[in-house]
Amino acid sequence: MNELIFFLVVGLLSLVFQSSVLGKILPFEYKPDVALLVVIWIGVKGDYFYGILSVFTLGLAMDLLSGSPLGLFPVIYLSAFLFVSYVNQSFDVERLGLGWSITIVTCFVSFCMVFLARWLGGQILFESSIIKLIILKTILTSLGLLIVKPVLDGAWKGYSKVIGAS
Amino acid sequence: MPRSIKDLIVAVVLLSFGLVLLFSSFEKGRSGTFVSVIYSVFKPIQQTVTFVEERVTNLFKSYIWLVGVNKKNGELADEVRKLRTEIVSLKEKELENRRLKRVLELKNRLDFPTVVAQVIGQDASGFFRTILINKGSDEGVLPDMAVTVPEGIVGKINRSSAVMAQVMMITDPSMSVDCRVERTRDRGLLTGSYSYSCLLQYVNKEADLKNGDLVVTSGLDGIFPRGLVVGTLQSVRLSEHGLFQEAVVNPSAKLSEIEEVIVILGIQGGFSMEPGLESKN
Repeated sequence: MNELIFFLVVGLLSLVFQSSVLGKILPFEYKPDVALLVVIWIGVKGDYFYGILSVFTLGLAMDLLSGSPLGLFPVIYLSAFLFVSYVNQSFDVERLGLGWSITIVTCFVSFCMVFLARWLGGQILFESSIIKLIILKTILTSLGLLIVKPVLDGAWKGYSKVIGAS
Repeated sequence: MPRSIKDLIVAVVLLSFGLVLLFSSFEKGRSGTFVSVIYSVFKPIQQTVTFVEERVTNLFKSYIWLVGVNKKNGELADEVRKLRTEIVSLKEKELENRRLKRVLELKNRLDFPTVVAQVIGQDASGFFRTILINKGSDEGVLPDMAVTVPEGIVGKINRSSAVMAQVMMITDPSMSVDCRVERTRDRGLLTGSYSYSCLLQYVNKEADLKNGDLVVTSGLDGIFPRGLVVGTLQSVRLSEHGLFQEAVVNPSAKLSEIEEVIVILGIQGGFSMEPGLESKN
């Protein structure tokens, strides 16, 4: 249960950070999806059951803090979580140093899913600038791992000490 | 990875729930209890973060930038710092006063009941062009209401809860606004675009459009009252198949810098066709 609280708090804080400060530091469209990095981190480190619950909640909150149709980000984040969780169990991502590859693939596919859903929903037409947006956002989000991973690892270590977990 | 049937069921149930939500929400924006609860939780956090952010920005402007000046000016440093702090503070207040004065002027000019709201956040994902405002259905703010600033229109309410609402801006590709070119009176459909800010499409091929022409709302889309400024034409060209003209439109409102907006309260998506602002200008 403590794990779930940690995931939810960290996830929701990342959303608040994204919707307020981050867009003023970096170009609005290309700002990294910190919440997705949190999802990937949970997929590697977290318990499956608490992970999936927190990721779903995070997706719903993301829907409400963005213009997304309700249900889009829960599906995307759950898919990302399941993919990362599966790869991690099969290959031990951290030991083999696959973090970067997993992050890049997950980000790219997740961002493609956003536009695919909007296109299928009749909300947008295909524009070449979308590909540029997806690629740049994937690069920036993946680079965000440099900051987000140590912060989350540190926060998790501290939290574990406080609650006395292993 | 699912390790048991239970895990698999949880994943399938949540995915299905997500898909059901997704397909049902494509029809139209919902603003039920769930939305209200989440927005109620986020509003104080967003407001606090915005408040702290403003203070930190002010601190940077008024103090940290002045560290270099302090060193150079030795004994006058304290006095300079105090004066600069006051100037920055006064300038901030002056700018705020000017903004609010313009907002008030527009509010008085509008024929419709309005409410002024503060921008407290922007789209979290970056894929959609939305902003969050600190007024909701408690103040009469409901989906499909027009949102504007003195310089031009901003967008429409996408979702609202009791205390907070989300505005879909005109630059989002899913937005469309029925517009007229003010000089020629030709109509066109303004849509958002990822490549450009906005695109005015389906304009009569024979229309005499020129760069710099002002684009205003036509009032025919049932959301925006007639005569509100949208932007200016930037580059005019024939559409892909040559049947219409289209033009890139530069929005008059600086959408990335908005701090306060006016929500035009009225019947959702059903304004009357009475003359709006044009007759008053």
